[in-house]
Amino acid sequence: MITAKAAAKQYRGRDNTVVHALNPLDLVIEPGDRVGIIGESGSGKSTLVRLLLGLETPSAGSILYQDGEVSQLSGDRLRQFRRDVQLVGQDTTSSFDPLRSLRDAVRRPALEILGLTVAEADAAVDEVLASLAVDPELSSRRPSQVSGGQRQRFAIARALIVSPRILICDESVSALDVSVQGAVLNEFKDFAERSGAGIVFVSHGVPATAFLSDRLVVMHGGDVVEQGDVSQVVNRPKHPYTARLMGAYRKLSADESSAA
Amino acid sequence: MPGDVGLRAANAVEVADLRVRYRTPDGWFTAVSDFSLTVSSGQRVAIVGESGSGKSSVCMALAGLLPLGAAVEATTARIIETDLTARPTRAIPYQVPGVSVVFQNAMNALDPVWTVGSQLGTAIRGRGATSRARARVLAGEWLERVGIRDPARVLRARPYELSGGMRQRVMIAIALCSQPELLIADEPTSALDVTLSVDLLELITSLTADLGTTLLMITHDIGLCRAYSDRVVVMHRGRVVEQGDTEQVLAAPSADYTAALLACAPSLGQLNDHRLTTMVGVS
Amino acid sequence: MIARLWRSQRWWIQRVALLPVHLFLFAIAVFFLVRLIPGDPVLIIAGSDDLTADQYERIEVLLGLSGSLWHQLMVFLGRVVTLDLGRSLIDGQDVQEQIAWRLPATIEIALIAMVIAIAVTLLLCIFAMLHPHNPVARFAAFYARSAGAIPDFVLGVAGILVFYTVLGWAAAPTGRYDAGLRPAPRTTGFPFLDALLSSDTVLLSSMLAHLWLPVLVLVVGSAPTIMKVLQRSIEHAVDDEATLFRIASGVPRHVVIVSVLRRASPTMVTMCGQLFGFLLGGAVIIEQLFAIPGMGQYAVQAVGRADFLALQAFLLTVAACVLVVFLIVDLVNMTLDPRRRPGVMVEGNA
Repeated sequence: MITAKAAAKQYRGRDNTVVHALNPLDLVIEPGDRVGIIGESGSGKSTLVRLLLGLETPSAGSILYQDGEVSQLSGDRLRQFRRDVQLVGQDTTSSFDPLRSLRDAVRRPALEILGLTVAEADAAVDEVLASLAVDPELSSRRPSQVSGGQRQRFAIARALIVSPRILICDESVSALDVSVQGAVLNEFKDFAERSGAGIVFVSHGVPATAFLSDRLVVMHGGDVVEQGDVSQVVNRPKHPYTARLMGAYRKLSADESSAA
Repeated sequence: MPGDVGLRAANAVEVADLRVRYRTPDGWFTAVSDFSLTVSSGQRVAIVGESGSGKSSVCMALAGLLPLGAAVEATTARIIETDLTARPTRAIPYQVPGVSVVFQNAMNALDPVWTVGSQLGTAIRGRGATSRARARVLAGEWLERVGIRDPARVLRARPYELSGGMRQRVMIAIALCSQPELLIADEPTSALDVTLSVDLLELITSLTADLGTTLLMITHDIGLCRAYSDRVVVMHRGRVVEQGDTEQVLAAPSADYTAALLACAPSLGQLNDHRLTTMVGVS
Repeated sequence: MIARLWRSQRWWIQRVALLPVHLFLFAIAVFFLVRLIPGDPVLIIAGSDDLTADQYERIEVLLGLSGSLWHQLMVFLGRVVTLDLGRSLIDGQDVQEQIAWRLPATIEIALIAMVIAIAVTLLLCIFAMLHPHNPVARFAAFYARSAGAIPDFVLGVAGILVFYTVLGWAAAPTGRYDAGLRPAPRTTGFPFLDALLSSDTVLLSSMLAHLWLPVLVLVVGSAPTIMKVLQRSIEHAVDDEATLFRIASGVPRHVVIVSVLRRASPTMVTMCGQLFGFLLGGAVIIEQLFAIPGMGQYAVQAVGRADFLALQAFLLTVAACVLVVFLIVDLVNMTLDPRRRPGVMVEGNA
């Protein structure tokens, strides 16, 4: 569905230095896939997300959506792309219009992308909120009047209402409290199982990413340093960077420190 | 200098019934109540809690850095030699003698317009009589101590010219160069990646151990508590729900909240778990 | 070595090098601006329209209005570069000479007012920062909020009414010193400074009696503008984590305060640059009210008499002054906050 073919991105910094944000990368994402992309800040994972969504054009190679260059889509093809590929970002405060109700925000893609009537869209909003176990009473509130965890659920509802076939989660739980993270991760997992959609889960947190993914891609300094089956990458890392990363988590986790 | 430790007061922190309130347009908001904590010198204590638990208010209150609109009340609040309840509040607070703070993000905590050398130098000279030239030499040594390889360059640099990890190291050097008796670390690594977090906490704990400095760490990360604290205080909604020896609390929590907090964090040991345990009614 | 020196110093060299470019662009703007004045300047100056072709042409050449527009521009730029702005055809006085003695007089008043305004603002703001609930701090906040509410000329008229007419504390608004006194020998060109240097106490006390009120009017009218900006940026700077970290690292009190002020000051410095422009403009009004000869008086005269060359010279001079002030503002700000230097990349607070 989305294919990256040797896609790379360079920026020209000040003083004409070239910053290699992302070195050539191949990646295929189909509905049903669960791909976790791990990397620290500056590893190139955010650049990759922007490329996958067509928000930026690759400097080399291509990002294809059904054989069409993503950043060149227009008209019906673009509508189809928006329907198929949705994003849940990290900073939910700034992604909502502060003066409109949350219901309004969730309803909008149903009106604009699916072309539903207001009554149909409202029914769809209720349905998606119910599937996420969100109190429908909250939907009349404004973004600033609910907790961060609730707001994130509305961001998810806004993405899920168009029944995307691929959901891209960019640091979607990083800003949430641990107690809320778990619930939101469960919701992503439920959605993927229920709908058969694909998930691209991008995060610097390994445990949450590993929980949601079948396949892990480890990025470092703009390169993919390792990718493979989740248990292989976590338990038998090949690249020194991955090994260091997993070692750091082991150090902080229960089993290891009690053994030590 | 480990030899000094014997001369220090037995308890670095003695707080009983601490309450922190903020003046808001709708009246007083109570952020922390009934908070009691005693930390003996040289201990490493972690206060763990989620957002809104009041852990940051506790830490700013103990460091004496709350703004004018905050009210701090307690039956006892002795930090090192200072009685917090007897301190007048001021628009620009004074340091509680012997207490240093490390913040979450060095980008915000370091002064953007001065060079590292100047900031570290003034902190080393403090109110004492170290000469500028001597402070310069000591500054270079401190940078090496926190693991910076090219101190000469970093001394001339301004914070925004350094990488995130370097900035954090510089902040640690500034906080510890006055050899404080108590270091309060407010989410010292939560803006960072895990490998860097672990490196920096190793650094903080080894330096505080060398200096005999008591460490009070505020965090939301149970993993960090487990690896780097002797005692843990669990806070929820402005109150202490449980405190005790770190190993014991994490192995056999007595409060439901602690148990739930421990259960809901994803870990690498449970890759195949179908669902994560979640906290009911906490969100 | 040279490359390294260039990298570390180019921020100000580049900025200074921009000044002639800005001046050049402004000169061209002035050139076209004065040509927008309606009517034929030659006829206005001659005062009648029965000129011989020969007379007409002579005046045209003197005004720099002969030939094609391109030719005129070249003549104009040539005169600007050689600083030969001509002799007024109306009073026969050399334009340069006029500006050379009037400009320092105006700048002097504006500068004195600005220095006092900045000093008062800094003192009040530092006091308010340390004692926010003190009545003086509350008054300062109220005063700052009044910024711009009362125009200079109202303050000026009210000042004359109260301090000269009613109380008699100020000297009559009849110039820079009493009529009948001789000006101090010209050494710097700045009248007050010259008086100070000449140690002519009679002249000096007369000047103080005449000038304190106009300066006070300018200070009272302009201080709130910078006070408002500085108060707000000090509040932000105090709340910064950087301030808390400075305190917690145990540095002396004055280091904390200087740190807050340095982070807060660039916005005020920018405001001071604008304020200097205001003060020059304010000085125009004040000079009229208090009959002080200066640039303002000159400009009013020039417009009134349609003195083409004088007006052109006035505009050029004021533009040059403002550009130089902006240059100083930029250099000071880039020194105070190196993040403002060109080519400095600051990552966001991620």
